[in-house]
Amino acid sequence: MIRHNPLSRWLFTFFLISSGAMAQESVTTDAGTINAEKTKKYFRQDAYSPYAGRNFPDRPLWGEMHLHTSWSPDAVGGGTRVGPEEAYRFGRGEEVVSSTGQSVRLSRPLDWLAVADHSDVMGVMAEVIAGNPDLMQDPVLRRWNGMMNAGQDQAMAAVMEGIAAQSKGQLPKALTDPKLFKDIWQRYIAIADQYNDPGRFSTLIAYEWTSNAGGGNNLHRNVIYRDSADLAKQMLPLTTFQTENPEELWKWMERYEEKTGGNVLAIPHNGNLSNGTMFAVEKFDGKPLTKEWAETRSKWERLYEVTQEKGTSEQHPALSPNDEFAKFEIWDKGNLNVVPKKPGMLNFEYAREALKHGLEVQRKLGANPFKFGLVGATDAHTGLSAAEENNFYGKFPSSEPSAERWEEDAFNFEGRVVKGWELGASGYTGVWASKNSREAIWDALHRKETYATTGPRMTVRFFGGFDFTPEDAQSRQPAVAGYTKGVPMGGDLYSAPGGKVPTFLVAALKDSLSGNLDRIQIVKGWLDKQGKAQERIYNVVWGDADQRQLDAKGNLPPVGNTVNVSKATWTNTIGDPELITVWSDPDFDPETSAFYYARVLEIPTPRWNVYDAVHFGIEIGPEVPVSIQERAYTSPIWYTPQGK
Amino acid sequence: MSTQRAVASTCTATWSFEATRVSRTGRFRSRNTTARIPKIFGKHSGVEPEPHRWEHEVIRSALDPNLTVLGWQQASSGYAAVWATENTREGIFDAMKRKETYATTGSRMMVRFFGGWDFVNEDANTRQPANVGYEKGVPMGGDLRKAPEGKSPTFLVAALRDPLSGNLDRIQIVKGWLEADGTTAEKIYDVAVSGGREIGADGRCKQPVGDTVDVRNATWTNTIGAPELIAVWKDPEFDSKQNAFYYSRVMEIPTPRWTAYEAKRFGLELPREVPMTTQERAYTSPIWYTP
Repeated sequence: MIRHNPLSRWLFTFFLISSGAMAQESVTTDAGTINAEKTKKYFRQDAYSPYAGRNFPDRPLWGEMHLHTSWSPDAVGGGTRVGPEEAYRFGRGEEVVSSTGQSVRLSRPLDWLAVADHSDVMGVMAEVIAGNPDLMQDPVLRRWNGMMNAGQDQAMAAVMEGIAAQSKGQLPKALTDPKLFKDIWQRYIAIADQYNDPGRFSTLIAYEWTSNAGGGNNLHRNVIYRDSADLAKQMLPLTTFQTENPEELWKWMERYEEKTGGNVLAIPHNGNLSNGTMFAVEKFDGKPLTKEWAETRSKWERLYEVTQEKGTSEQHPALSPNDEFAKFEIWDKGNLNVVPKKPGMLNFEYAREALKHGLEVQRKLGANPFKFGLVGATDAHTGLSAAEENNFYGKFPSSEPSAERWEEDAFNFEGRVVKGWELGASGYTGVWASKNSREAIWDALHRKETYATTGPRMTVRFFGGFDFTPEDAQSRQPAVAGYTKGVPMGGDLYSAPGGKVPTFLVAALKDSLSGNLDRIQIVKGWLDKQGKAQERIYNVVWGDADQRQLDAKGNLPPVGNTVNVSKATWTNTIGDPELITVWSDPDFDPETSAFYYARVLEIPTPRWNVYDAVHFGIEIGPEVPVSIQERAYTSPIWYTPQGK
Repeated sequence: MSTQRAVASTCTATWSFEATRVSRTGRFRSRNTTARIPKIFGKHSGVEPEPHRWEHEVIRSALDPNLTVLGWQQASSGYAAVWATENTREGIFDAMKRKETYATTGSRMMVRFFGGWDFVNEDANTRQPANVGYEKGVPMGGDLRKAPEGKSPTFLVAALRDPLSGNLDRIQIVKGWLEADGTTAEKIYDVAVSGGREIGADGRCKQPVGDTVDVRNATWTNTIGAPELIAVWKDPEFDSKQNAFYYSRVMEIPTPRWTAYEAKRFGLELPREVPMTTQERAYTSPIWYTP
């Protein structure tokens, strides 16, 4: 019977042609005779042009997915007047006026952006200010409308009243009316669609679900949609009025996908402000983890926002005393209410530690809950995605450029203070998507082919495989060997072939407007014989290699510092403009799980406060760092032995 | 709706090095065009990639075979960069009309060149040279007239390498002028050089930058040269009565010439007369001085 089935015959024929021994023969099909020699030219030929026929992403697309506008209640309460439309216009490169009346523009447009306002009372304060007639029927809201529009002290008094009412659960009912929420959500997603300009500037629909469980423990997640408004409008976002439990968010995501046929993913952030709860190895209710829980978390939480204005959460120096670069923009005083940390909490707050715990949980339960890639974002509440040190527009209008912002309080919760200068000008995400569209970017986020930076736009390639050789680093098109012989950042390696060790092709190209490169490191985490996770950092390639060598322990002397503090400038006379190498793991054990990610360090450049000092002609206190080594963190590549 | 349309439509002092780059590259984003060296597609279809194009006769001389132009003598060049405030037909035409352009032999280095009377060394200590450039001077293609008493022309010149091409060797300023007897003269000054090399009293750096090209593999390393150069230069031999022009020439370090990619690709041994490396470069429009 098979002989008479045309499809089977065609497939059989194809098999014959593609097998070497038969390559010269002809076969007759229903469609005629296929002569292998004559027909092969219709298949892809090796082009002269090194750029023809490339089906892999060839440049990183820059953007972020965590920007608040005046549609977030805390932003509008803090004086933000920049809404989602101006936020997108700023992101695509236009000059806008900030909430403090200052003209601002990016050095270069972003390629994509997702505004992610808080779902809790999203957009309603903007409606109160605008005098939405339905809301004006409520006497309290009518009074607030008058106060907000009176401005200054009165506006501030209305904000304080609103916050107090929210914390006591006494918000006017009209503000949480589902009909109002539906109207606002539909307008919000229509704006995202309106500014989506594939090929040029993509927007993604997103919102932040802002759980502050237990009094300020940051369990925030941003939900990122692959879909347009026609699907996104079918369900209202989850709010914390419904639940503060992240497991309920995963159920909401499941329901959304089932109901609409769409796709969403979630990105947690600020584990550093979670007081030990973001990556806790127990459930929200304190019960032990299960395999199903681990699978569910890693299914939805594909990425982690490792750097942003409220600190960088790669690794805490106390957890990695040998990592001289871990002490970077650290926020470790407490949680969002600056409730101080207890010993041990740090273990469950930082990305590298969570990746390590993920391996341990995987060994115990057979699934890794913390198998996330890395992204950077601002979390700015100004509507301005401005993460460069010389163009830092702060967290709130109060931290937009001013002579005072460095010494004012960024957070003051009952006298527990974080100072303005502690805010970081960070970060962005580089996405290796094959085209600039909402769907292609979402797909790259989903497969974790992303890296985080603290603001600059260096190009970083990172591939893992078992067959990379030093010659692969001689090429100026490393991605050709990278995608041919390996998997990119965010990928998986399984069961090492007999006697082989993982090899990595890693390359970085400086941001042409930022500092040269100091070095590339590969950070490895693995399970030891006892099943306990370990970590090690390898310097794999570095600038000024004619003058710097590794010592016996593998450490490298510092690259130097050319920062001129009084002029807020530096010279690219140290470091290198580009670095590339192939590295094989010298300590590989094929029997244990591991992860590897690359960290790329720039040479020191001026921190944002140095630009403030020069611009405003002020003296800034000695407690404030004057230079910074900007960096990129790639998503990891995981190694998992068979059956583990 | 367009990004470019919303930005300033005239060159003002607020234009920065960075901001204008956005306009230049924001839409010229695709690198899939054909002048970059690894994929020269020749002058016409007869000289597209194939093992014999290096020896193909492009223009045969009927008079003297020595004058015949062979395939390998073709260059893989070039592109024009336009300092326009927006990426529109009109914006680009206007910039061409005012000559605010520079030529490159294929690379996309970024080059700023301003002339004026008041540039000082301090002006090179910034990462936004265009702010001071447009404020105190005129850009490439512009004119300087009647020198203020006792002053010489000063130039602010800066270059950033093409991230996908070679580091920079040096920036030069080429001066041409009219002598009192009506004859013309020219002189070349090295004004910014990489690698800590010295510029002599004659204004020249005699030491070459070096060469990292691996011809067999058609590759090189950016371990020599610099990713960026910037300088303020004052004409040391200025005569306010002489007409003059100044343009800048930016040199990359040596990289493989298309013939090296060709040889590698087709496994050829090319004769010694065929150059296998090239120093890509940019030429800015001049700035003229007219008394």
